[in-house]
Amino acid sequence: MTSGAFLTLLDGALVTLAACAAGVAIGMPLGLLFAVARWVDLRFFGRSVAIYVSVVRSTPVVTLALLVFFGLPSLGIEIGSTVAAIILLAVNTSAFNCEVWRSGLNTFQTDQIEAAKAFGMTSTQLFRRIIFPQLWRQCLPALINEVTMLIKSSPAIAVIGVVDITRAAIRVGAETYDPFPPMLAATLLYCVIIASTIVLQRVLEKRHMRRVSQDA
Amino acid sequence: MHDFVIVFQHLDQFVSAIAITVGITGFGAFVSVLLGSLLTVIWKSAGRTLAACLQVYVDIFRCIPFLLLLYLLYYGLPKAGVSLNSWWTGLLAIALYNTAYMAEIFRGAWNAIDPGTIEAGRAIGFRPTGLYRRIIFPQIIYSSTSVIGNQFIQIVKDSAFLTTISVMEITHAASDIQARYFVPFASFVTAALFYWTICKSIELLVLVVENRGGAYRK
Repeated sequence: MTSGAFLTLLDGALVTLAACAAGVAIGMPLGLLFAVARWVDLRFFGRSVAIYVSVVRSTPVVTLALLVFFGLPSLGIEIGSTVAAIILLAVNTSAFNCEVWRSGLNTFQTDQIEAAKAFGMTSTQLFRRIIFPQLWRQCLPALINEVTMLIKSSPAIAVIGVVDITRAAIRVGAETYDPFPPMLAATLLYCVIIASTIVLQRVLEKRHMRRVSQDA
Repeated sequence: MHDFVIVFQHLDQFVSAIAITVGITGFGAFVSVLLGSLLTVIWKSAGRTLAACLQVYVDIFRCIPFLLLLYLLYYGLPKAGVSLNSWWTGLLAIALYNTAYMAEIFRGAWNAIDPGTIEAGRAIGFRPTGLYRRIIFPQIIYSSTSVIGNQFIQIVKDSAFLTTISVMEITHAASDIQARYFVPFASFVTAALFYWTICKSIELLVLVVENRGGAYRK
């Protein structure tokens, strides 16, 4: 493999990271919104969210990618492959993150909520000052774990034509008529990226455990 | 609505695709559970060097996206002089990839077993094979049923990547129908519903096994 080929892969790595970051930036707050909707038991919306989460979580990312990429234009919504990729990653993240946020909310101590209400806090204040700061700390390791899973399934965006690491490797392989070496290099790149998110998750987990044991 | 009618006219294509998805994931899951438990037994009785090597194998596989392993095998095997068709390549990828995950799951569950049960088994005179079959693995399987079920669901979802090497599974059938009649929305939504049904069935199976495990322990 030439250095030019390696640079192509690095460009792909930037695309992979940027697409995943965009997906998380949209999907993570959306997941929180969904989780809160289910938690406060908004009837119709809550139930629709439950179905949405269940279906998205059990649909393979590739299938979802093809659905977004081919399906939305057929409904009259014109999108390119990059936008489709970001929508796909955001939808996927929102469903998985919803479950993480929800399990955090379900274990939240109700006496804190009662205390805040007794102090006369509005529900917005309650959420912003009491619930969210604790929820965020508690959920962060699990959310990073979901980021890892997202990066692991992100090669699906190569299938709809986004030049991420995988697609870059396919291109280099097509030019050199030898797809194996670029694919191996791409695998190593993924390995490095995913290993670093796993390390990040472990560090955050340890920090959280320390904090919890200090509180106790 | 008309689009869905077109898709349903090709239900037979979907049925054979479901058979392939279920077949390849079932076979792959079976092989990886088998190899994963074998690996765990070796891991638990191995010396420090071998255990470290196994840890590296498991960690590396957990850092690789499934599609990349699939491509590596698809392009690498012919280079090494092994020619498999896409079905067997896919199966091999599923088995290799998930053996690592299963070994990790089993090892975690093994570490959580009450060591007293193993000691008691040895004291009664169980030989290692009997100990694994009667004491250790029943506890591992029942305590990690839901985790194993989640991994099976992951296998079903990963199997959709096999469309890239032209295995005729559900996503491939949906792509095929959408390309012929241009009904992308209907065909991929139908595919998603089939996947949902398969994953729900696995969840149901997990519940059944867990209930039985509960009855077993009483």
